[in-house]
Amino acid sequence: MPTLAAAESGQAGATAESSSRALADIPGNSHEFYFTRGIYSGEFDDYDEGGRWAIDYPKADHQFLIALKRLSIIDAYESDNAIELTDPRLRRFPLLYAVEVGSMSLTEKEVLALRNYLLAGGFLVIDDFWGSWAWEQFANQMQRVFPDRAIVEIPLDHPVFNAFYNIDRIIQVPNVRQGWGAPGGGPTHEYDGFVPHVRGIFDDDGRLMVLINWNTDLGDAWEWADDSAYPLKFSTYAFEIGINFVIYAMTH
Amino acid sequence: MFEFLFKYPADFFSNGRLILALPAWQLALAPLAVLALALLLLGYARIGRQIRGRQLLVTAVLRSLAISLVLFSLSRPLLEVTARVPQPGVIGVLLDNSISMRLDHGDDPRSAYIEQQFDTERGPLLRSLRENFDTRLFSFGASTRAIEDITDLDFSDGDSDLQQALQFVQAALQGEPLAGLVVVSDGAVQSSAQLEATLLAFKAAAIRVFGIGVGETQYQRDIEISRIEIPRQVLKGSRINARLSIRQQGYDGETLDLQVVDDGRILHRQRIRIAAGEQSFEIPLATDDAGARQLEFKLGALPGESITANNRRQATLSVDPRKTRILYFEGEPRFEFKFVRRAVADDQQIALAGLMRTADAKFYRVGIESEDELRNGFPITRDELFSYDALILGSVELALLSREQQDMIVEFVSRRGGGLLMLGGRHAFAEGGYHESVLRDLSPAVMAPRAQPGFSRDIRLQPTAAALVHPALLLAPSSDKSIARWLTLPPLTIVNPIQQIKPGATLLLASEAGDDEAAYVGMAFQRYGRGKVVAFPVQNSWLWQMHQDIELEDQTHELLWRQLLRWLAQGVPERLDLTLSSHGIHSGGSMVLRSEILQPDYSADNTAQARAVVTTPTGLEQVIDLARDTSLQGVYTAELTVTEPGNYQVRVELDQQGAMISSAESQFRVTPEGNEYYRSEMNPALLGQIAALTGGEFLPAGKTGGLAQALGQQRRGARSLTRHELWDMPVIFLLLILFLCAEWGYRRWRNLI
Repeated sequence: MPTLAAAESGQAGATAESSSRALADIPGNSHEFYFTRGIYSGEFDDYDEGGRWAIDYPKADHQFLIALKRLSIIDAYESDNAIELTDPRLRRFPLLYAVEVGSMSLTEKEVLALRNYLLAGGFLVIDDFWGSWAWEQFANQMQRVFPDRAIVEIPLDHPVFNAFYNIDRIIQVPNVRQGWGAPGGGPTHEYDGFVPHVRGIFDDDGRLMVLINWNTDLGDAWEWADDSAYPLKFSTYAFEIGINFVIYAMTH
Repeated sequence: MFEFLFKYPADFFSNGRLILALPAWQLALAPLAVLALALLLLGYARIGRQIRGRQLLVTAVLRSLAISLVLFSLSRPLLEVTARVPQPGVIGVLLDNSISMRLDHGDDPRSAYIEQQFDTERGPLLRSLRENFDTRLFSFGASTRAIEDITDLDFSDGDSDLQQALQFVQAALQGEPLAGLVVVSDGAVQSSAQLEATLLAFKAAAIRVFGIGVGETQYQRDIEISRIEIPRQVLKGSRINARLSIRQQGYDGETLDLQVVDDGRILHRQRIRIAAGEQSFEIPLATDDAGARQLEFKLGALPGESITANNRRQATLSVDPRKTRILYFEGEPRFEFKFVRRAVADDQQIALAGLMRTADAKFYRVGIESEDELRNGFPITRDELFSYDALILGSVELALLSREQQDMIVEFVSRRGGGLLMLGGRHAFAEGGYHESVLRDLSPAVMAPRAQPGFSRDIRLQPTAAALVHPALLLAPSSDKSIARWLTLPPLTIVNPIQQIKPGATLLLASEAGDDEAAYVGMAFQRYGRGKVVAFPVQNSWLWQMHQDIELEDQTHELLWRQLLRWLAQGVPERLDLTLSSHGIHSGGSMVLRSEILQPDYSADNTAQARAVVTTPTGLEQVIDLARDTSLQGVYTAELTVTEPGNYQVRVELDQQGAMISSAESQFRVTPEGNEYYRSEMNPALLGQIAALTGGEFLPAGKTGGLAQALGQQRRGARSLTRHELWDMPVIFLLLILFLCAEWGYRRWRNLI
């Protein structure tokens, strides 16, 4: 059984190379979809181990892509694709995934780039940040990106919840360690993030631009889906709602 | 002596033609004649035993000759002789009574020439003609009539119809010894193929037409709106480009105001600088108000203009308020789907239903109007598919469409008249297997003979000359700005290597050809049956929205897709449509209404009972039944004659299978002058052509001295055809007596009596 430490280690190794390697790896080919992870500036960036943006990277991305390609017919690039928010090629990838945004501390250039990306038609999926403190941090960053836009709860009848699978309730997906303990009645939350939420920021025409998974960790469920000790119900749900996000992003 | 014997002079017989005018009833006597001949021969046979053969022969020949003479006289022989008769020839003089004859250019109006030359008392030209010919006067304009003298002219007719005038005069002078026709006109008449055909008939009948041109052949100073090109029907909110052509003399480099007015409201205003000769301007117009619009294009008058009435011109535009329904079928998840939907989301005239295949046998529907719409995936009935105006096929492999659905798509375009847009993609065109299906025929692009999976090329698309005037591809109000925008758009990816279009298709966008590679087709279209098909074999036009070089405020992607889908769905036939023969006519003129009527399955309806409802300028409604044009399927026409000036509204109504359907309303304008003030310079080319075609002459107004002489050389015009009876020629009686006496004498001599 892989350990969390091993996972953290693998993640750090990948991170150190990713910000340069992944972009170089984007071929001049014509895959329709690249699962793209946003590289952002964070308060707790440790350049020996990589930034917080790279949590669960790249295994979570790879495993999600395996499921995506198996369950749908999307012509998806099979590998990871991380890109800095200020990279001019960001807009070639209309779906962007970012995690651990409680540590996000965007530069002015990143704020501008992200705002332009979203207003042009990009779609940002946020995942894996927990509790009120992280929320405050993230909300402050979003306030800088969109000073006049509110973050609102997305109701379950929103099309994002039935773009591919019908999601009829929001499940809290725990990280791997708590996932192992969940079948025995252990907690699934972190800090004070007891209730999972799916929230969003909409543009002037009512189109969803930012989808925020708070108090939940879809990325860990993808990463540890191949671990028999990680409960199937969490990884299944994580894949289902993740594929919904992608289909929604490609249709709306 | 000859004339005593044969009743007529010898040259009658040398020039004439002998005919037998035997009445039909006399043919009934032929059997009796045969019987009489048989009895005669029988009689000779019986007496042949009593007389010798030579005697028999002589008497038989003499008797036969006598009987032949009688039969010849009974068959009413006539001599048909063509000969000049001494009576004077007739000349028809057609005097132009149109309003353009009132034009003056600082001196006398054109009509003054007619008043001076054709005055009954003092007119020198009329007098010289009457000295030699029986001269008949006619007034022509919108209609033609015989007149006693020029006091019957008022120079107020609308559009001159010379073809109709010539036919009228020919009919009026039928049977007269016509020496020729003289047309006195400024030549500001509508030339047409029918006119040419009429003139050829004149040439065949050897009727010469002489033209006398009145007025200036070129104005020293004038500006005219010579032509307006505008779509017949557009969707509400479409931006259209009207093409305005201007002719001018004497104002090179001047600037003046151009206004486009719709029902008193200024739609567009700009200053234009005019160059020498004829030039065109693209005028961008918004179409925010629905219904039949009568647009007036007006140029400001400049000092010294010969005519200011030709500085304005009307055009009719039908602005369709309905929402067009477009189906976008995508065979796999693609961002193109999202961004096309996003581009047209704000367009109130486009309802885009989306159907995307997301997994095997799994489809996602968006933009649907009811729960049942597209419930079974791509439409499986014609009714369902034909409810859309246009169809977008994305990366849809052929296997996703049954043979029946493929046939339905072909019929959707060819019969229903829908628009089809074929997008590029890894499962589109040959890469999707279309090259082995009926979809190959629809495509304006020539597909590769076999698929090339894995092909990918980034290309920068450039507009062709056709694209620069194509309403879907104008990215800016002017062509120059549009070209500039096209050339700065980022490259797109193609995965379908298409490098040829079909004959008859129009290439709109293409890549630049390389040193060793032909250009790739970026966009092409063709008409197919009633509909149209566009091939846009790129797979990520969304980069024109998302590329780093595209400014946030840039609306190119949205504009392109809105224009493209509007154009695709525009003009898709309704089951009942209405077209008018003209935007405007003169008082007293005729407007032809034409309506194509389709059944609910969009096949031609040849048994419809349709009527046109015409609302006159004073608000009265007039109902006219339309009659089927038997030369065309489902086409009905009616001719409407109007006298009252003003705007007329027209719509067609039809009771079809219990449901009342109505066409969009159209509009036309009636003015006293019609189009008389356009191209109103004296037209020597037309008058010269008329003269040349018929063997006549064209004479400018000041040089008509030789007209009477030229007409006098006419020989055939006074030709007369006469028939003369020959049965009573003295020679016949003399010969008859001679033969009978000779037979009698011979018989006496030979004692045969």
